[in-house]
Amino acid sequence: MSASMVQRVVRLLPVMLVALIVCSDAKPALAATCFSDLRDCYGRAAGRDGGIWDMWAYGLDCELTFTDCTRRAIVGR
Amino acid sequence: MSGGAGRACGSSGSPSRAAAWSLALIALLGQSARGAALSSHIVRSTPVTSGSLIIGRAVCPGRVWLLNEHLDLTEITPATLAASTHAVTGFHRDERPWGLACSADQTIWTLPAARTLARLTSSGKVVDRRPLGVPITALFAIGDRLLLAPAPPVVGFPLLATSLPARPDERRAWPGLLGRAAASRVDLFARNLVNCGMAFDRELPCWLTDATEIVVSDGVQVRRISMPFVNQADIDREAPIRDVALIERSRAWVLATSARMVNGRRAGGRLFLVADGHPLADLLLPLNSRLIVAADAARCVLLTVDGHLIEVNAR
Repeated sequence: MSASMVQRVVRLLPVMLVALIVCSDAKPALAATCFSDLRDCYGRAAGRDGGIWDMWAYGLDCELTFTDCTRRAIVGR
Repeated sequence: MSGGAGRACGSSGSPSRAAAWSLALIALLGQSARGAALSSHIVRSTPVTSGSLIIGRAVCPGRVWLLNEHLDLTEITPATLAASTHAVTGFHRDERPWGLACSADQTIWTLPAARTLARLTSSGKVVDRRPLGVPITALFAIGDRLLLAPAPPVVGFPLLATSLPARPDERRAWPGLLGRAAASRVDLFARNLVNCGMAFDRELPCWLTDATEIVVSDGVQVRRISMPFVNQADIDREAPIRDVALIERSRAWVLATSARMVNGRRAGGRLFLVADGHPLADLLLPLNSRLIVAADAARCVLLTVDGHLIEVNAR
C-alpha cells in the first residue's frame, strides 16, 4: 500500500468510524446512553493524532467502556 | 491501602408480624395457577445489602459474596442468613470493577479493570493484582479455575475460557456458548454479553443475555436447555433470564426478568422450577428479586430489590 493511500485511509478513518455507528443496527432501546457514549468515544478516537494504531487502541477502549455500560444495564443486579 | 472497616449489617432478623402477614397475603394473591406448588415467605427483613447495583456474585462453600457499585463486599451465610458488609479498599480511582468469583481454595477474585485481575480479602482489601494480556469482560469460577470472557468476542468460537488464578493468561476454551455474528462491530459486543448462574457439581449454567436457552457445560460435555416458556407477557424479552441455579443435573431454579423495571433497573419477577427443560412450577414473586443467593431441591433463597431475603419452597 503506497504512502498516499495510507494517508487517505487515515484521513477517512473518522468518517468510517462515524459510518460504522450510523450503519449499525444497534438497538438504542437496550441501553441508549451506552450507544451515544460510544458514538462520542469513537469521535474522540477518530480525532487522535497518534497514528492509526493509537486510534485503533483508543477505539478498543471505547468498545470496552461500551461493554461495561451495557453489562451494567443488562447483567447488573 | 488499609483494610476495610467492618460494617456489620446485623444478624439474621425476623420480620415483624405485620410485614409477615402482608407478605403472605401478597404471595397468595401473586401465585399463578401453575405456581400452586411453590410458596414464598420472607426469611430476613433486615437488608443484607444496600440498593447499589450488584456487579458480582461469588459462591464459596457455605458462603455467598456480593460486590456492588458502591464497592461494598457483602458476605452471606445461607445456612444462618447472617450477613456482614465491608467497604472494599485498594481500587484505583479510575477503575470500574466488575465480576466476582470464588475459586476452590476459597479465594475471591474480581476485575478492577478489563486488563487487571485482583484478589479480594474477606475484609475487602484489594491484593495480588495481576495484569491480563487480553481484556476480560466477565468473570466467574468453576472448581479451581476462573471462567473468563475475553474481548472482543469471536464469531463461532467459545465466548468463555478458563484459567488458573495464578496464570490468568493461560486460557483454555470453555465449550458451550459460541460467539454470534452481528451486523456491526458494536452489535458484536452487545449480542455476545454473557452471564452465568450457580453451578451444581462441575456443571455451570451460562446464557447469552437476550436468549431463552441456557447452556450447561462442565468444560467437556455441553447440554443446551431451551426454555421458551420463560417468554411470558410479564417477562422482559430483551433479557429474559436474570439468574439460574442448577440444583441437580436436570433440575434448575430460573429467575426470569420482570417486564417492568424497578427504580430504573431490571429485576427478577417470576421464578420457575425446571426439570429436563420443562417447567414444573412457577411463581409470580411477591417482591421483585435481584438474584439467587442459595438453592437446593426444596428451596430457593432470593435477594429482593430492597435487600431482604425471601425463600421460595417447592411442595
